[in-house]
Amino acid sequence: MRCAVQSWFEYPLEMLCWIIFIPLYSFGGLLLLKVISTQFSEIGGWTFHGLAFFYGLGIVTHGLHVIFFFAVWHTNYMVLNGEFDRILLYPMNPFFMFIIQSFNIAGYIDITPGIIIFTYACLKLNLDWNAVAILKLIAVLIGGTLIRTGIFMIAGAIGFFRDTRNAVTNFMVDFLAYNTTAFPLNIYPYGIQVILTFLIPVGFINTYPAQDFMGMDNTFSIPINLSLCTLLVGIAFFLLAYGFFRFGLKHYKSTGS
Amino acid sequence: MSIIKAVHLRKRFIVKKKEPGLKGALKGIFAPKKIIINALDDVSFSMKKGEIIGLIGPNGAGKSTTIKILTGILQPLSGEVEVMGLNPQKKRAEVVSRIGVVFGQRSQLYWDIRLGESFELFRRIYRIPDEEYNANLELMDSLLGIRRLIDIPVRQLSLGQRMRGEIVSAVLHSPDILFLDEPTIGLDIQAKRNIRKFIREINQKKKTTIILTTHDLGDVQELCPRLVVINKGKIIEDGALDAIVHRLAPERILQIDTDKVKKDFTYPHCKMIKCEENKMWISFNRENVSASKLIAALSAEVRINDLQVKEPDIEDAIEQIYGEG
Repeated sequence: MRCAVQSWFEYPLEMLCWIIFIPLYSFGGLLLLKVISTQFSEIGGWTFHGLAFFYGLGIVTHGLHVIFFFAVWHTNYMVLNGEFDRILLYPMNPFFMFIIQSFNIAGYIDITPGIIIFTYACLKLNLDWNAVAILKLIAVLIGGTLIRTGIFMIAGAIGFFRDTRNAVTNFMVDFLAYNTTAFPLNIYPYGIQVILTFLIPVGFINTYPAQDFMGMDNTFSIPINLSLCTLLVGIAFFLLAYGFFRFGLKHYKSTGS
Repeated sequence: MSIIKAVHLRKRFIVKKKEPGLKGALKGIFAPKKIIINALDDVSFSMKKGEIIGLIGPNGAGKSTTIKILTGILQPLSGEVEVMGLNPQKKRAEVVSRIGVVFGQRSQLYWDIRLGESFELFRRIYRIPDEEYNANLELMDSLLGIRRLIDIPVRQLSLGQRMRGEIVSAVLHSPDILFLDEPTIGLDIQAKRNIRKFIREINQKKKTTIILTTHDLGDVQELCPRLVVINKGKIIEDGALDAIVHRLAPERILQIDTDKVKKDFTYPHCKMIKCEENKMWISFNRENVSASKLIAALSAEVRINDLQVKEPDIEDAIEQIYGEG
């Protein structure tokens, strides 16, 4: 982990670029929501501050995901280059080694605007932060991070079976993980909502938890508490993805040398 | 009791054959032509503790695949593997904690940070006790002069220095078996010599079992009493280096310097292979011709100024093997 941090500081210019552009991107998204909500007064029952809460939560989980699990973005690249050879030679859990090797300090750049937006929304919304709410928030953050990671893991692990290039899968997955969490799910048609809830559970990253905190209704009238749901779905989805990753690793082909 | 045992190993790779050009690329998408390559085709061998073997063969013969199966990276299609009595695919973590692996073409060091930092990392990953770690580092310093390199970022090391770093990082945890996949590739003579010396020493001092793959026959000649030759996924030779060389390249060559050559010289079981103005080369097999008798017969017909007998070397033997394959 320390090694990853030190590697990062070897390239200060690159770091500077990220520091400038990632927050710009995040705040840009917020600005878009502001424009939309002032133009249309409200969309799908969301106020601007509700949207900011929702959007901030999405960025914070994204930030946690890229801090702790950035490695999964490179799975197929590493497969194509035979990099798993090295990981498989360590006497440790290969997934753990895989994750720990690219611990990503740059994730702090992703997460900071998210925290700012989220805190701003919380202040404006006057939410009651009792113990239950805090526990719920922790559950939601863990669950959301695991769901995001699971999506990238599954997409990446396809590389064990077929030769794929990162650019293609990451574009698809980024579209899924980023764009579908930039607007609340309930503005989409019903069919898409079904897919993004039950097949690829991105709805649980921020739409449903935000609805729970806001006391709003959800499309599917899910009976369990939505924040708790996020944690459970997150764990289940992550375990599923992990199983797929391990299965893929058994099919690892390495490269010629 | 063998420390490594491989029985009837098979491994297949499916390769998509691509045709040239845009048309070929399109065809490759819709109707890919798949070819099955038998990377390993019934490979069996075993090793005793403390042995050094040279695993050689042309590119794509299956050397690296064999190593990757023995180290648990790849799953064999069929067959059995035992490394220190354990199956490296099922007990991967246990096996890899007791082996060291160096892939000459791939680095296991961290590119951007100082070499010593990578060593520290391995110390933690393998949970090496301080005493053992320091003793090993000390030994490595005496063999490979590693302390001078420890504060340099890996990307600034020369290839030879980096290879020394790679090797040290593979033996810090005192492995029982060391897999060296082309450790001397691209190195200059001095660096090669250092690495060979290291291999010999660690084999003698720590009784480390060593599997070495290489294209450098000098490595094999200096280090490996036993040779396993693999080609097209099959083991085609396994035995003592001398015996293999002798069997595959039994011909010795007698070179004669003389004032006047005799072009039509014949002797039973011998062959004139070349004849120049004042030099003759005659090949003979030491099984049925004695060099002294041949020389005696020659000196009766020409005046010998100088002579030398060239023993077959490993290059001839290997050429013979690869040619057949």
